[in-house]
Amino acid sequence: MKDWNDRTTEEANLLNPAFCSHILAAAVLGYLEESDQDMPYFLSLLVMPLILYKPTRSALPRDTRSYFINWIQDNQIAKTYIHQHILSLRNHTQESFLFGIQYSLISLSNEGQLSTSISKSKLNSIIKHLAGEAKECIKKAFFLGKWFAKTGEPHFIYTLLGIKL
Amino acid sequence: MNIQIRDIILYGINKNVRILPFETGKLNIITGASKTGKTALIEILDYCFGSSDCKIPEGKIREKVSWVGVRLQQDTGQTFIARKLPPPGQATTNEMYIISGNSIQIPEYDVLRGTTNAVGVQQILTAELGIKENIHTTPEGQTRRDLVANFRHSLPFCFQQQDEIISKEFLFHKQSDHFVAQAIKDTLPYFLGVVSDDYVAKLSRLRDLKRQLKLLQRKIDELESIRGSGLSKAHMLLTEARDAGLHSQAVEDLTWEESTKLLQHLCSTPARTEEDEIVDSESEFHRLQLEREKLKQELRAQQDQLNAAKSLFSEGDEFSSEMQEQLNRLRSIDFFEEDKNIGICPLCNSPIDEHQKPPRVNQIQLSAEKMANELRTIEEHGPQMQKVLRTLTENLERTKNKLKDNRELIEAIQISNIKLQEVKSHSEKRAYILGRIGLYLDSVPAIEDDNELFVKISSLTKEIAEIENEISVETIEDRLQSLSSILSIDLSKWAKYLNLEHSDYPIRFDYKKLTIIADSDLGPIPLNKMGSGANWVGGHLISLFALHKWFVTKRRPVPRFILIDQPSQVYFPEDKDWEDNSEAKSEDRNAVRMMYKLAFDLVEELAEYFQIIITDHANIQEKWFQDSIVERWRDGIKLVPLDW
Repeated sequence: MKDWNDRTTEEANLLNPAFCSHILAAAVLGYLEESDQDMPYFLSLLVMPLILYKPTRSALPRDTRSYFINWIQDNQIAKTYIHQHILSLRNHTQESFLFGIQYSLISLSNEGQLSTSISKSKLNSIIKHLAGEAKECIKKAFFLGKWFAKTGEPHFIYTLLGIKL
Repeated sequence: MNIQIRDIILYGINKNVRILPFETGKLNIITGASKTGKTALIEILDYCFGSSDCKIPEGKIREKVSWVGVRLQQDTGQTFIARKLPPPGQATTNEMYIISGNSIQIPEYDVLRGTTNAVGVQQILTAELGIKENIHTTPEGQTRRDLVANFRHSLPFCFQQQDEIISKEFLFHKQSDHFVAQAIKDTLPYFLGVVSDDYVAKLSRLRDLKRQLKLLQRKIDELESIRGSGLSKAHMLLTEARDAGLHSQAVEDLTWEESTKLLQHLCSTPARTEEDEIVDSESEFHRLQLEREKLKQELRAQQDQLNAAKSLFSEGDEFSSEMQEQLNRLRSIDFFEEDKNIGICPLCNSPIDEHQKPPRVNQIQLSAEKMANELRTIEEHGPQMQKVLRTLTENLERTKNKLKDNRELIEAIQISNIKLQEVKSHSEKRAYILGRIGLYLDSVPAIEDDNELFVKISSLTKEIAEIENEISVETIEDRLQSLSSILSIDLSKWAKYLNLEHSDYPIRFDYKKLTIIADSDLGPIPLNKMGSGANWVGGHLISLFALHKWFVTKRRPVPRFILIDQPSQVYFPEDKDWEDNSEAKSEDRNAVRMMYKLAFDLVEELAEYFQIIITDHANIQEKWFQDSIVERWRDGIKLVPLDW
């Protein structure tokens, strides 16, 4: 991972860890709202690739009434690039995790589960403060967390995306 | 594609779980009294496979059971599917649960909830079966499916209800429904493998090409007709043009192509202004003409400048909106107050290398400030850009006005000059003719297309012939015929084994009528012309067995199981009949034994690739039969546990 000053301005700014850790925290919060379990770490690796890639983000449904299992069959776009994007965002994801954990946005248990201490109202104030696509990313990340929780077995989500764990 | 049943599972309203396990690659027998739930198994499976409604009979199951499920065994792993039973008064629910993986534990009751619906399950099962889809991805990233067949199309070959196995009219599950029967006829060639996987795609491409060909041929016909009537019109225009001095060619012998070529040439050549001939004596007029040219050039240049400035301005807009997005994302840093140095990795507790460290909060804050400043600069430039655009637009307007004045002066001179007057009317006349020629040419299709059209037509015709050859009905018929002969070997052999009527003659399968036929010396005898229920049941068994053996051998995308309910009913309609050990019944007992032995031997022959599940009240005291019994539903043991 390049030093902050050695990155291109686009890469540095668009993928800055403060923003990305907000995305992760939003997803974890969404998951917790829907499930009585914490979010498995490996599931959170899917968040940034799905949210930051605009075509996938725009294809996400409005609410969790749509089934993820059906959606993935009808939206091959998510499957096509997910593998590439997970790899290319690997370093940023890790950096954002470090950032988020260090600044107590998210926490990781010994069993590999993520939880967050930020409240729904804190998330709302973050959403309110941001604008444009940034705002949309946070909102969709929260949705994605909820949606994952509703879909059942986390391993199955990977299977559906065509990724071997 | 090797999909077999591992378990059927019932989840009680009381949250208990009842598992009915099966063995893959074997004959599985459930022997039991009536009203124990045997007949419901097929409906339970069909429901789990995404049927449109729930045909599980009313009674114990509907009262006591909350969800039904099935665990499937495949080469690639296992899949568990469950579906909620509808509450009383409702025809169905669309709440389904599905999960697949290398090895799936049967879930607890509390895990079950709607994570998908019938459509989702069908899609997954179709993919698991290996039915190749032609998936089109539209520009928006949506997918459309062009399926030859789907999972549900394969089910008619996998179930035989007790009223279906004795039917002399209909061989397959639900074939009495006209739409199902048609679907079977449409998809059977695919499942048998006599058409390729891209059969449907080829069919639709063929339709497409034929449509294109028709359009092109119509165009050619149109051209032909225009030429016919058009030639005289073209000649007429050329004659007028010659009289007006626009050209000096003989017109009458010109062909269509030559005429239109000449007409186009006239239109595109700038008219020689006769004004030039009198220019010397009218120097003022000449000067105004020159000025006009100069002004026109200036106008063009100014227009270009304005366009360039406008595009620069809008690019700047785009640029600044990208920068705005960067700033939007940097705004997250406003929520971070302290600035920590992240030296130890909280995930693994080891120290972090300098290169791996995330940026500090103040670094990100600086980037945010920098971006905000840059955006401000751009915004400040905004008014300047506006000013530039305004100036350029004003200059343009001024030039246009000058041109207008110039025109007026020229016209004034023209009016006062009679000679010029004559010239002008001559020019007008020419302009008028040229205008009509132009109009005419617009209404006529360009001649170059002609050759192109013929080339396109011949390539289309060629491609159509190729595809027609590939999917030719004749080729399919041929393949079906040779397939028929191969199936006939097993059909005849097994018909003899079961001692069916007419088994002296060769038996074949008829795809169009979906039945089997004995070719006797008195003519062909289809199943529905053979007497007695025993023959009908036997006919069903050998047909299904022969087809499945083919499916297995040729690795066709069909599930590898059959469920059969009550095959012994023609001989032993009632439970108690089975207890009759008299001589009279021994022939019937043997007939039933042969049916089961045939099933057993087939499964042995196909090894782990085929599974047969039979529910019946038959109970044959031989080792191979007894070893195949999965459960006995007698003396209080049933599908739904008594204590639920």
